[in-house]
Amino acid sequence: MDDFFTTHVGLRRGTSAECQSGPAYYGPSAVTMVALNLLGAPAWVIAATQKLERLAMLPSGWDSYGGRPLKQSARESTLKAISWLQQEELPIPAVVLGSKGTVQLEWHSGSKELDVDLGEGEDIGFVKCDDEGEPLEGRTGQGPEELRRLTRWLVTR
Amino acid sequence: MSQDATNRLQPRPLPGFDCPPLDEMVIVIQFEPLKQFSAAHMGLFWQKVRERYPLTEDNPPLLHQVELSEPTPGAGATIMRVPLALRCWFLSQDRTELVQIQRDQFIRNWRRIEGNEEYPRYETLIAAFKREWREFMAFVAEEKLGEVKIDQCELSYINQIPKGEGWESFADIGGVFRGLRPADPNGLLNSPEAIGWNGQYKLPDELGRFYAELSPGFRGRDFKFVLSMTLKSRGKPAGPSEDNLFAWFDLAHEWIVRGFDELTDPNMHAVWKRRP
Repeated sequence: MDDFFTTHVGLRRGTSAECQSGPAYYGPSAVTMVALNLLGAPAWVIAATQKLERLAMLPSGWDSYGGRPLKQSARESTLKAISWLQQEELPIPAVVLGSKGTVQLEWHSGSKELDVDLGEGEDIGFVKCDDEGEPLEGRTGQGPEELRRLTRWLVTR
Repeated sequence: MSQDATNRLQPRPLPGFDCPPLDEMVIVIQFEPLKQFSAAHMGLFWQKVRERYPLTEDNPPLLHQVELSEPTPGAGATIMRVPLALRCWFLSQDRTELVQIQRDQFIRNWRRIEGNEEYPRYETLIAAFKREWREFMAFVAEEKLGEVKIDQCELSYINQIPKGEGWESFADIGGVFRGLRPADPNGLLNSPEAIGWNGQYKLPDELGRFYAELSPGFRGRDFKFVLSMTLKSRGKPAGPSEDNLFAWFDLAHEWIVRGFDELTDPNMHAVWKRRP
């Protein structure tokens, strides 16, 4: 028995075998990847990365109260978070620089609001609120699944 | 014969760069699947190379891709077959070099991990690849796994040019890549949100294709904003001999080096320290 599925890339018509084979098996032979490709990226990804790059240019004391410049760890954590979420359909977040050089991503969707704090320690702080109850504050591990769980709460009606 | 024609016939020296923006180089040989090749054989082969590659990782297999000389009507130009077996990585201690094997592919990568590693050069890397390919061929013969019938080879160079090294915004991209200058610097389209480019060229004598791809993004290693330029030659050697095989890689390398030289701007050549 042939243990290969065959798929014709570029064909519009397909068979069930082609559908099963799908992109899950696809991986490039190169191992060093650009983690976040801006070409064709959703609007929120481009807007958030551009805002972050602008924040990275702010000097010490940017808020007139001794605010620290963007921490490298916060910049990397934020870009990692965006790269993990880049396939998600999300509204454009506000990207806010904290006085300690950390970053907060703030999303609003309908009556829901999600704030995610990045760059302060190993894990991620978050605040969720909607019009049905008290704001829920917490911390979660820094990983794609944890973040997706949060953003899916945001967009679920 | 005209002077132009004479010049074209004379072999031109290959340009060199002392500080190329190269992040990874990949050498691939793809062959018809070895039906008897199992996970156990991956372990057996690892024993042979373990001293050089003490670390391992399991990964999903790569697709079996075959470059067609002509596109099929109404379809893309690539046929892919998806194997159900694993792909194993054998990595050097510093993770800059790795060998990837699966039942239909043998791959060797060199990559920058910290960012300051010196590119060992094509001659060094292809010589190491040749040694290890021979080891793999000897292993296949020893284990009676069947004949290795090569159906495709690939050589890829992944260059990454960070923001601040010759460009600050997409409006400057014409200073990095020839041909991407805006027609009117004061025009409507002088400041793109993002910009990319793809080119595809036929190698001579039906030996495959050369691909160039440019895309902006954030590099996974350090999340620096980069222009990623992947140059790839893919095709099939002229014959089954080892000489044919490595002549193909030399041609693939020549196209990548000349392609890089032709696609990029002389101002950037100074940054990358081009040797005449």
